[in-house]
Amino acid sequence: MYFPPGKVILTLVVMVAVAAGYIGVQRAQFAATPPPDLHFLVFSRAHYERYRAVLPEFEAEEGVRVHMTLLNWNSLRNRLQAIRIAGLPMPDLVEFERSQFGALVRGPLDLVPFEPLNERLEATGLIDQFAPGRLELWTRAGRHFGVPKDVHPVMLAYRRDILAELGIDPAELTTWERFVAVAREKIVADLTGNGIIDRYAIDMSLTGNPELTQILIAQRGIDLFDARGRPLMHNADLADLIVWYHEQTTGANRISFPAGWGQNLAQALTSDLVVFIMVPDWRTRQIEMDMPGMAGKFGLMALPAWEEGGGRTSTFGGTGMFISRQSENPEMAWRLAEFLALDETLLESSFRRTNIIPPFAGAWDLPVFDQVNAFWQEPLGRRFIEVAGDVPVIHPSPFYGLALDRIANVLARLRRHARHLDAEARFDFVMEELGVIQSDIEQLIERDRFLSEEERL
Amino acid sequence: MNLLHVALLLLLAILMGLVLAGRATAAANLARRSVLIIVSCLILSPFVWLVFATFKDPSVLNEYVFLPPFAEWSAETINLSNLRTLLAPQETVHGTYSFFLYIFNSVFLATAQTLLQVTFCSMAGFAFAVYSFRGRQALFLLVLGSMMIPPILLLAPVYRMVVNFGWMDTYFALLVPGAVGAYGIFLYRQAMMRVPKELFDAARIDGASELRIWYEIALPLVRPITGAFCLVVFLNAWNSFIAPNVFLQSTYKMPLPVILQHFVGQYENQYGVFLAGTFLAILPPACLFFYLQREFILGLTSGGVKE
Repeated sequence: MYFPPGKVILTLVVMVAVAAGYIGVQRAQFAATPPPDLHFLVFSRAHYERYRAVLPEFEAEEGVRVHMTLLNWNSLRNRLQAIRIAGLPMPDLVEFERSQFGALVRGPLDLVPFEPLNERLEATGLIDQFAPGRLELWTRAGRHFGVPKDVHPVMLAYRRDILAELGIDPAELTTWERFVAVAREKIVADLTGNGIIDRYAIDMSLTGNPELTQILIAQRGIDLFDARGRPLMHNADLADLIVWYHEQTTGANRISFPAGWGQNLAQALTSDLVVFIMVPDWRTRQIEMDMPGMAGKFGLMALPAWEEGGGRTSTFGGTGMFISRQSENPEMAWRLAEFLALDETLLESSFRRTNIIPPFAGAWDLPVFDQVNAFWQEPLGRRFIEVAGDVPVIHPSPFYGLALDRIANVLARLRRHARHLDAEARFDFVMEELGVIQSDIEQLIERDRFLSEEERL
Repeated sequence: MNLLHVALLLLLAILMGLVLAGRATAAANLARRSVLIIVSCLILSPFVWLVFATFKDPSVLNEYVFLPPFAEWSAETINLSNLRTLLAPQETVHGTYSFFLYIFNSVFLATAQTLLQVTFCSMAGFAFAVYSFRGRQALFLLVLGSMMIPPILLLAPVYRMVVNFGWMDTYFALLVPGAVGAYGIFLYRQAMMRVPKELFDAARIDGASELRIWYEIALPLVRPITGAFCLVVFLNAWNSFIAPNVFLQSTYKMPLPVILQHFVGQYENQYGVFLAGTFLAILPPACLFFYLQREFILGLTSGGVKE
């Protein structure tokens, strides 16, 4: 057969025809689907699957049809920002992660694409039921834009068998000072005598992975921004923490190994290279899935405090639900948000699937949280609930991610210059660097012409 | 650094030394081949890792970097569990789908995108190469200039257009904005400029229309370029991630890269299933490449010799 454009094009034409035929036949079953009453965007497969199980109940009760779309969280951010910039209607209900909040609620307050929920939260009494600090995560200039979905308290997971073998009682590791001393004395070791350290105490990123450093920053009671969004980075506590972090991650006395994520982390934990790891509730589930062979070998303890009697937990991550300001049916969107946030069956199944505890103190009495988890061999929910009330407050900012990245840069610069600096000079060096960051971010904020009066510097 | 590291580095240094010496001896040949084998192993190792991960049971996925020791091979450690999970009918709010639907969605989008680009880029390239008209140079510079705009900058305006045209959640949103590209126009223009104009004139004298000249004279003469261009466009469209995520809403319309990302997320990761899906996703373009490799390579090497 003569086909002038050639064999490649002919092959592609055949492929497109076959694919179109298959897709056409498969899709015929969805042709008559009526348009939805509510459009709901989610980014977590775990959430999607649980919601899918209970949505028919809501749809039947309310007589509506809900169209739920699952997107990867990066894609969700891209789509929401495109919608925002193009000035187009948001889906009625959206779930997104806390790192995206600051950027999505920038600009004039009355143009924020989400409805402030203050009145609804007050009317239903929900406003007093959240764990401390969770509403602040989704608040700008006093407007609560999101319904918190979680608390994500952080604890330390440790290799129970290794600590027992070394005669270390985790209950004695009450402060980071004590932790570091025990780590240097008993845990960090060259077991084969070849000059290479075979066992480190804790997983800490060498480059100051912002996700992990922010756990320690928040636990130390350092808020990078205040409630009005003003930066608080030129801060002696933060400088002290950065110098401490540097000492634990660099040089001959370091106690940490950068184990990373996924298979690298699993290898580090299963091969006894790392003994402790900081885990929010959701990460315990990842450990269960990634290292099923380690069941029974991990224990959980509260984070060591920065000083005796200090806070023993932090927070890592967070999801909120938001109602679009342009929703044609905001009442129904609110009812759906309420249903998904408060339905006890859903809260229980959510915990079973993700190990995530809910943010409502009223729900913490559900029996599911007292059940012993087969992998951890302890009542995982109760352990996290015990510290959930102490989760530090973090105020959001569009510049939060930038601030953490810049702090990681300070850590890198300190690593480069540290050999020429004594302890005091290192602190001064970091303070100076933090001053620069503070000033840079203040300038960026000053350029924002749409800040309300109360948010001005 | 242990003894094995030192030995390997020493071996590598000796082999490199022999290669650099460039002596056409048997030893140098052996050295060259050894280096090539080592480098090939390094390059192929991620792919091998992917294949092994596909067939490892999730319970041992992270326990062994590659495969478990031979003594531990059993149906419990090496099996098709990841593929089974992946290919099992998936329940969504719209109904239950087979994973093959996503594969065919990707095949459709990638091939349709490629065909559209070849059609319109070759037409535009033909016009720029063959016709003389006022403003040709300026227009061509404008086309080339458009390559300097980062695609992500166009996301918001294109999104607005797509919404205004009513194309949200349809394949038009992906196919129409990507139907023509400056790179393709440039490639075809350069290729068609090398075709003797006398051929087109002869066709005109024989009564051929301009469309027929493009289809029956110009396109066959630039086939090698078409092969290479198809490869580039097909792979780009096959791996496209952001646009489908932004413009499509119904799960059953999503292509493979988007669906695969659902298996790794914020709260839980099914790495085994994700890697099995990645393995399957590699197969169609790989098969296409092997089937058409002569045409593709001809395109990639055309112009390599100075005339």
